[in-house]
Amino acid sequence: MNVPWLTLVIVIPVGMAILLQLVPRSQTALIKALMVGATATVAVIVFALLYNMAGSPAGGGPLSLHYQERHDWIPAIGASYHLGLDGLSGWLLALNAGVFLLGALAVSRRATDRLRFYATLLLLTEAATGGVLLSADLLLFYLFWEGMLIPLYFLLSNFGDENRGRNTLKFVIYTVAGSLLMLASIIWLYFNAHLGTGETSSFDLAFLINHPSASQAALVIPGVKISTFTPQQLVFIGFALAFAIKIPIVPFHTWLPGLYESSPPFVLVFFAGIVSKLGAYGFIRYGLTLFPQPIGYFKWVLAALAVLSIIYGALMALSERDIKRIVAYASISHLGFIALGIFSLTQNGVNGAIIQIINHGIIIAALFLIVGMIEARTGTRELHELSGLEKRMPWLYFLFLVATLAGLGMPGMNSFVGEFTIMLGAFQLNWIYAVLAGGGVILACWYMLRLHQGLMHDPIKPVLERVRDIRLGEALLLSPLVALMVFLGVYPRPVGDLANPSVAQYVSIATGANPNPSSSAPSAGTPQAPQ
Amino acid sequence: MLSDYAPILVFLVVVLGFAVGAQVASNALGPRRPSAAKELPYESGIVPRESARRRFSVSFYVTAMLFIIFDVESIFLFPWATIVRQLKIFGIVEIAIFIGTLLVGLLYVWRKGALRWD
Amino acid sequence: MLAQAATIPALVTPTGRDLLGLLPELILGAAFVLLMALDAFLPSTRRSWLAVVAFISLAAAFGASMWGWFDSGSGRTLYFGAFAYDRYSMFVNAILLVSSALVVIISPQYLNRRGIHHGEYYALILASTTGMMILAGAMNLMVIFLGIELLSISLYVLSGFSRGDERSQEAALKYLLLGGFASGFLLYGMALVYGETGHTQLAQIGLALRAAQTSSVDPLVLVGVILVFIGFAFKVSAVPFHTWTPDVYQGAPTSVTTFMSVTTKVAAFAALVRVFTYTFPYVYTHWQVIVSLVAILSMLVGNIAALTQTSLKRMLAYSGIAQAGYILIGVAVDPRVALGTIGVLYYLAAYAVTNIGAFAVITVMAGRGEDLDSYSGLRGLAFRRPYVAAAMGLFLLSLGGFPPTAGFFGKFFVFAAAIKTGLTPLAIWGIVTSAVSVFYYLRVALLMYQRPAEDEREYAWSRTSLSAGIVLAATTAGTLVLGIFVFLLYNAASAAQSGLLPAIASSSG
Repeated sequence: MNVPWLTLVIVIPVGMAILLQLVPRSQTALIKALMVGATATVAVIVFALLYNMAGSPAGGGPLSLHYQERHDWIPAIGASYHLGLDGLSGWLLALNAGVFLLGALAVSRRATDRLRFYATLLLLTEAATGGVLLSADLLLFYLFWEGMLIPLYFLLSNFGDENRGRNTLKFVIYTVAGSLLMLASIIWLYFNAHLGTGETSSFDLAFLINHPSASQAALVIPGVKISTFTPQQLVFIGFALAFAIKIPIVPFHTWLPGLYESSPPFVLVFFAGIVSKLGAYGFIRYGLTLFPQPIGYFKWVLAALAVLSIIYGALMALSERDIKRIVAYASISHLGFIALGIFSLTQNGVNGAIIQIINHGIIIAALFLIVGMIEARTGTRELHELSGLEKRMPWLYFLFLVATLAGLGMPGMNSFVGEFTIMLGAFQLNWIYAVLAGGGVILACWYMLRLHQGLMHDPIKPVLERVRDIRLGEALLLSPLVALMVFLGVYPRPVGDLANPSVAQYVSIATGANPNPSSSAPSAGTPQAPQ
Repeated sequence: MLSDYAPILVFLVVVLGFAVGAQVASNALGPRRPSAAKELPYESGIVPRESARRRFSVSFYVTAMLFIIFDVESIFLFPWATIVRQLKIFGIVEIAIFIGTLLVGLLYVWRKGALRWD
Repeated sequence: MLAQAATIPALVTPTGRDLLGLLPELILGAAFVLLMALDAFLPSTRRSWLAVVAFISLAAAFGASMWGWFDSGSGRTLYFGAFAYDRYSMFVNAILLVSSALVVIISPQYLNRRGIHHGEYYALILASTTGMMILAGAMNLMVIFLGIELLSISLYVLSGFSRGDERSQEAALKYLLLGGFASGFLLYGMALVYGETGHTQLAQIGLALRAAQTSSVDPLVLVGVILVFIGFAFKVSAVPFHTWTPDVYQGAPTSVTTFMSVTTKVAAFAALVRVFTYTFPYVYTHWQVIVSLVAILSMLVGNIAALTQTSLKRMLAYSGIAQAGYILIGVAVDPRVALGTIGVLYYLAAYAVTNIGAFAVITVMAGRGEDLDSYSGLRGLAFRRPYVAAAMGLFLLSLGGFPPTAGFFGKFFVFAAAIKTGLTPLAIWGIVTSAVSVFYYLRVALLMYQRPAEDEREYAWSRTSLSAGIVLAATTAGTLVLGIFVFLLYNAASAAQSGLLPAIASSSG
């Protein structure tokens, strides 16, 4: 039977979101059950797809997609509804399904009077992020990429503390500005694709990879040449801004700390867990393949910004007193690692980045949940007001310890594998980057241990004497995450094995190592003089 | 070409010059001896008894407007009448529609009470 | 057909084909007369019947337009070249008629609540729509003027329709005065164009300009072209000819604002494209700069001014100014590129469906005897009227250009046309200002989902009536369908573009 499984991954959440509108708002138990049911169903489908992926036939071309679904959408301009899954998007889709299931399970009781609203938005966000990962057509990709902001906007601006409105608006303006420039870039790529005779242009990703633009015209405002970059480089900047803002890379990060601070943990598990990863995904999937020359040209700058993110995030995490902001800045630092891996443009670096994307999604979700549990019990997030929770919350202490060790990159934990591989890639790029990033790892030990010790050790403050340990349900929520941290630390092969072929393909396109049919991308090994 | 418009420009200058010149000249040359009687508005030699700023019934306005509308109808009928034979049946139908529309207008005016005077 | 026009016989009588081609306009014209007569004789309690008659006539005109769509084929002219019978005008007719029908559906309830339910309302709406349809099909400078005046005069009366309300009176007067100015500009420009080319028929003006292309173009023609553009710019409320817009939109009764904010723009843009892109392509390099400049200013001023508004109607007025700027991008692109015109058509349809929805929500907000349109009135809407709030949110997102809504693809096609023809800076400017616009659209969207403060006045939301529900459902569905099943309207717009008269320059891909 020919079931459109990929479409189901998008349609099931949307369908359930519509269905939920028929359920009375007071039926919170039913609403939660339906929400969890829908996300769990998606998770099952995604994992079944991943499990069978190695055995399923892959399409040819520069992407080698599995389970492709393709229908005409706007045939007149060559836009199609084209979905597909490869090793990269496969794992991200798994992460996507996981964090949304977590978000559905983690929703707190305080939100129950608006549970239906929350459930609707969560499901719509899941559909949009799933669409971003699945689409293999640039216009479709953009549709999901930008459409994702709608449910996110309502989620972030309706759930959280009193500053959420301002912070959300900042985030949305940032990302809209970035993604609209990407839209202009997509249109440019479409119109400037180097066509053979009888060919019409298309928004299909594989098509555009195989038909890179040959245009050398500089951007001019009638008569005035306003830039020395080639158009390809400018167009790449359009994409890079959108992705860099989403990740975020310093200096485009200013929306993140405030927004993470004002958002509740049950939103953050999937907001921090998957949305920021989509920026990294975009760089790998679109940056490496569509812009081999420009990304080679800019990789030094981009890698430097990534290293800056690592150091800056770490230093800010050290100087913060608010535990949620510490985790937020730690997140910036970790995302810097992911970016560094990508911009090393090496097999190792990108591999490490993918592993780290998964790891970071797991770790950050766990950390935000833990912070949320502590805040809910003590009523404060100030580090100096908290101490000695170890005695009152032994279970949380244990789970938090594992998460901390994972967060600081302890060998045997999952992020060690990722960071180590990224460092290998960074070395191949330039040893200075690797050394500086290594400094970031040391700082990570410092701020993670400061956080953990500050919260857990030392004599307990009198006001905290009545704090209770986490409930069974909360422990059950955290334990799979913690188990995964250990499991992926000891046995990271499943991620690597599936992603490796895709990564090899992307990196070879980016570096021009692969004599790709009809792609005459110049070698990107060395920076070239501006034309 | 543009030079074809030169006479218009000359005409414009002459007209402006004459208008402005006449005003300036009469102001500069004419003697001025104002008196109370001279300041009165001229009403065919009749001495005005009260201020000219009085309120009129709005019915005057409505009536004047209706007059104009139905007056235009007759203006339109004149040119039509000169060629009605050449237009044949089309002309008859066309004017019937025209008058019919106006008739509806008249009915409307009547029903809305615009023809009543109180 | 041009030869026909060149030798106009002494007596011109229309043929049956001419009349048949004008069927949509004739239906509405007849309905106008019928409505005036009905209004005179119906008792005042039966006013809603007039709405029914108006709706039926609009539906009939829509049917006639659809028949015209298939009948006109590759297009021909009526009345010896003075009027176009092509798919383009039928496409525009369809947008206009659907918009008017939606307005007629929401009107009775709103007018009753405001206490201004007079029978002339529907007749004037029909008259105005007739003028717009004439404007959309006009192929002669005088017919264009006729259409513009018919639509404008009806709108002057409509915007002052709330007779006891000073704001409404002020709006009517402002609109009348500035509209008169605009007509003056337009007429003066037409006179200059006529004076230089010796024709009022668009097709022959185009040919004359093509012939003159080899020699230098007379500057007076260019002045005429610019003045004609200014006349249109007033009607579409583009900067710097926009100053009347906020006051008129705010002062006029909301259902009238709904009507004119959408349909005037649609009709004026339809004529603008026909005149500029298809009649003046040979002086394109001259007017392109002006159009681009006006587009840039509209996007800037509209979006910046909208940021600080606290009245929904004023915000939507400024937003409409900005949207006019985006649509002008589609006009400014090289006339040889079909995507520009297709983009304009798509944008107009998307704007119509979205804006009618947004204004319909404001009509639902109207209290007894007054319009309440402040931002604070929206606060907490989502808790009492979740569906209305969700619909309003969707319309605002569509105006902001988020996918998957109609507004996104409107912007997408005009930006694509700009990038294709090398007007990338214009597209970038559109993008920057779009990012600004997100701020004020989302601010309003957010308000609906916030709980009202304790001390704030409880807002008396009227029950959402069946008629308002129908309009909101239709516009919501339209906004989504145009944002997802893009090919439906794209193919229609493409077909409309391909038969556009007058075909002076051969346009390609």
